[in-house]
Amino acid sequence: MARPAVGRRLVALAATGCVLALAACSAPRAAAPNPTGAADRVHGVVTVLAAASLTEVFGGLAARFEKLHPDVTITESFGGSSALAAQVVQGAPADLLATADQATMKTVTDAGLADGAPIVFATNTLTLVVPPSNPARVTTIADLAKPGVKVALCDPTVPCGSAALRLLAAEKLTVTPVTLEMDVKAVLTKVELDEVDAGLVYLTDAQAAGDKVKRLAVPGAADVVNRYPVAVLAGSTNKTAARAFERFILSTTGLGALTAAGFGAP
Amino acid sequence: MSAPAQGLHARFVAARGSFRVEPRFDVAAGRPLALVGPNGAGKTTVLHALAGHLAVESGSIGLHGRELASLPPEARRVGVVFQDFLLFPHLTVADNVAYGIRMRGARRAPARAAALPWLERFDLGGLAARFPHELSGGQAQRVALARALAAEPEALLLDEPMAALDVEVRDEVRAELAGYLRDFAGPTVIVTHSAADVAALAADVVVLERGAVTQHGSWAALRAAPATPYVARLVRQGEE
Amino acid sequence: MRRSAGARRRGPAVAVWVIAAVALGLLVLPLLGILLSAPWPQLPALLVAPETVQALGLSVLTGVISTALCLVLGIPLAVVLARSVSWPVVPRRLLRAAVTIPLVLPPVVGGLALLLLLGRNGVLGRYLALLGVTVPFTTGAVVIAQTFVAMPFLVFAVEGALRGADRRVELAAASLGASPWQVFRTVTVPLVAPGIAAGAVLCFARALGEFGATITFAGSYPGVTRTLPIASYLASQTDLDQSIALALVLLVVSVAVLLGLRDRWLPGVRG
Repeated sequence: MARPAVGRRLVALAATGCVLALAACSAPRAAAPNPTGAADRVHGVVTVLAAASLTEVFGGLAARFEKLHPDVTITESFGGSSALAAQVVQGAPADLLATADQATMKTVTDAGLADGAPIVFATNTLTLVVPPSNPARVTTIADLAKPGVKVALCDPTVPCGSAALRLLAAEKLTVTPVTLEMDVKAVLTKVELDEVDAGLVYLTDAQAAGDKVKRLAVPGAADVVNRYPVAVLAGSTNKTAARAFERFILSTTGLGALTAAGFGAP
Repeated sequence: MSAPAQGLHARFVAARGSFRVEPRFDVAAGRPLALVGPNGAGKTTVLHALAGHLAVESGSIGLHGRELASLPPEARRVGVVFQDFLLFPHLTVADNVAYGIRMRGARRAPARAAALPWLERFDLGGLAARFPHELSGGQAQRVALARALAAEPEALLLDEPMAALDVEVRDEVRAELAGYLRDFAGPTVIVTHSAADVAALAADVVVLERGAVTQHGSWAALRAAPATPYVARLVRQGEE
Repeated sequence: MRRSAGARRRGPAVAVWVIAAVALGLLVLPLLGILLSAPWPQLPALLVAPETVQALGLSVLTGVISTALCLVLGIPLAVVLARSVSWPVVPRRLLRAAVTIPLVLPPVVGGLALLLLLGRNGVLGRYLALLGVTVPFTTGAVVIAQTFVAMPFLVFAVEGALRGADRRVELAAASLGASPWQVFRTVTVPLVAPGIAAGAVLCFARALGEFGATITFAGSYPGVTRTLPIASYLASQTDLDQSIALALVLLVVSVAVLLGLRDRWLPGVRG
């Protein structure tokens, strides 16, 4: 009869199709990265959460890494370290975390969410910035305590804020800021817009801002050092690529870029 | 013969869409005038012009010797009973009736006291604390009338007084209204398209068709000699 | 009526119920999440903490002032907007678009715009600075930011009430001897009062919850500019319990305002 013949042909077609599909599906698995982790086999997406002060450097490093490994896409999210750490603790899906101080990273390691020990890759110190026109004629950090001088600081719960507190305490100064911002870039913006007379930001931020702000030296700042740790996260779904990027950050290329941006050696 | 100073005298031109409305009539106290005409003739335009809600292009509106045409509505002392009554929904019956008294300077409590006799006269004593949405059509009409008269206007305008009422109650309410109008001391104009209204409420009739007066006179005169097909239809309606 | 028509009608109704239930879930379940995660034993201590009290006091104070400001400025604007139906198309649409701006602008962008306008180097702010007046980083700046984002809620609610009211009663009032001002005071305003109240409720709620514009324009300093939402967000990074406590306070205040009002003042409910 005609119908069974057609039916059999359809089954044969379907079977062939399935076999081909299975072959196609299994092919990439056969080409999975080999256990030695050779760099040219890295692929997929790497989600990086990094402190706001790392915006420019990590942005550049990510672009260079992607050029070296065309199969990798790095997505980065910058913000206050505390906010990022809190997100990780709350279960945000990320592969790599870099914070602006070790205390913040500790909240993540204490929760058992870091894969292995975090590695310090850079240090940062604070500097005093004022708007280019320096409306309040600020010359030293002591001027911040003068009445009428509008100062912007990071909130103490954020790494740059706790560093600022340590610095001001070391200089024996009582400063009443007009605002306690959530991350260092917000402080920088307020200074750039000439809405405040001075702010304490990282050296790297002042450098990145170029001539949008005027930088003033703070002698005691070298003693208040923020150590920046980076860690691959336990919940990462692409640990291979994450570790590769981490190695890139720690390589001479990475450290060179960090130094050029004003970070100190780890 | 020159128009007497007493009474309401309308001789003006007002615009209404594509044509002009040019009424010419006099109303004496005690002889209510019915303003009739087909839909779109301009009756409402005349009413709004008399009340002051519409500006006239030219002419005059005289009331007891005063020229009204240039006055705003609040200065004219012309009371209006609107087709939908337009009672103040946020005020009680008592406060509605007292409104005109308040607007002439009385405080709230004295105004309410002065409104009491009006509530009595219109048999609204028991409804003083009610709100408009709780009233029947007939009751609302009485409130609207009481409110207009409590402000002691010099003339009274009624716009299609029966239109908002159920057909069953119209005859009864119309008879009541006729009684109230007889007690009012000033000129009265009733805009209507109902022959029954004309017969029960008015002494004289002015017919308006496409903005122009086509007949005026007593209802009996119209019935005897209708000047236009519309008037003939109206008269026939009255005889049904 | 055919029986089949009735039977067919039941089908869509069930689907509507189901979707409505999902929508309701989306709105209510997150609140349930807060209530369930709240640190109930520690709550009393957290609630009397200075950060909480300061933020609450500041939020309520600025919220009330902003609402009052929205009423004073917004009602006349609503009157103009309601009357604009008789305007030509372009000016009418532009006016409506202008009132809608704060609704479509991301709050942070709004805050930035306010900063560029009223900051000490701002377009207007520089002249204010000459007079010794600085706006950013003050509680006044919080009020301005809140008023900016909340005003459209009030304007549209009042405009809706004005459009819905039968304005012909104003003619009746005039014929009873009321001057235009008396008409406005004794008839127009009472008629739209429920709409005004509903708008004020929405306005207050929006002002209470404002975050982005406030932090960008006014900054964040405890007692001066750190409102409840800002304090809650900041706390969420280091002290989740404190953050939830602050969020709960915000929730309770909002619900209290809604429950304390008469039904017909609630947005969307007509008297």
